[in-house]
Amino acid sequence: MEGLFNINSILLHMLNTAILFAAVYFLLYKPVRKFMKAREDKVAAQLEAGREAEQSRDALIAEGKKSLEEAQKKALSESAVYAQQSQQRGQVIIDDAKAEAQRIIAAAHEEAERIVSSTRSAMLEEAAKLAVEMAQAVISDKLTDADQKRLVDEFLEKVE
Amino acid sequence: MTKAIITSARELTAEQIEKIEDKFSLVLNDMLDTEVKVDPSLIGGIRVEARGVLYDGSVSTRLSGMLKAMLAED
Repeated sequence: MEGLFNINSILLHMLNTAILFAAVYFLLYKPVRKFMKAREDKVAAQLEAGREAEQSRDALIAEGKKSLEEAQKKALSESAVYAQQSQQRGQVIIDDAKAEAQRIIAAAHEEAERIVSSTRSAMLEEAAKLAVEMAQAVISDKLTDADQKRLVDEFLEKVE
Repeated sequence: MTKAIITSARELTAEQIEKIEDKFSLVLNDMLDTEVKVDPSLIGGIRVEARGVLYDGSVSTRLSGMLKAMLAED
């Protein structure tokens, strides 16, 4: 029975265990814990950095959206102004073209009337000359001595 | 005496010439020295030229006057 419950052996084993635990604690557990803590801190820092980056990204996105909206508003308002100005310029061009067309038409009418009047006058003049020439020919052919005598007598009566 | 030129569209008879001379002697108050010419372009009637004045009774002049009147109306 002494062989089974050797108190010295038990104490020795207990001391061994204690030394083992101490050794494990100081040589393994603490460094590992330290390592794990460092790694945990590093991961936490990375997570924090990620969160901060995310926040920066969101802020940038928001700022970008805002800038885009402002640019769109500005573009819309400017394009509206340009469209109005273009419309006004177009209307001015159209009005000018209409006025010019009316001037051209009026000038063409005047010219046409002038040509018609001139042509009519020329034709009347020609017709009158022709009538007189024909009268001269007829009278010259038909005038008798009695007619000549009458003409001379009428002339002498009028002379003063 | 006054020189007078009588131009006629056709030959004048002696009686007609005498009548013309008598009339113009009265008008001009002088005896006339007349020269008679024939110009068919007058067509009919006569012209008498004396003392720088032309007395025109020709048909051609009347027709010219008619033409001028017609053209003036336009």
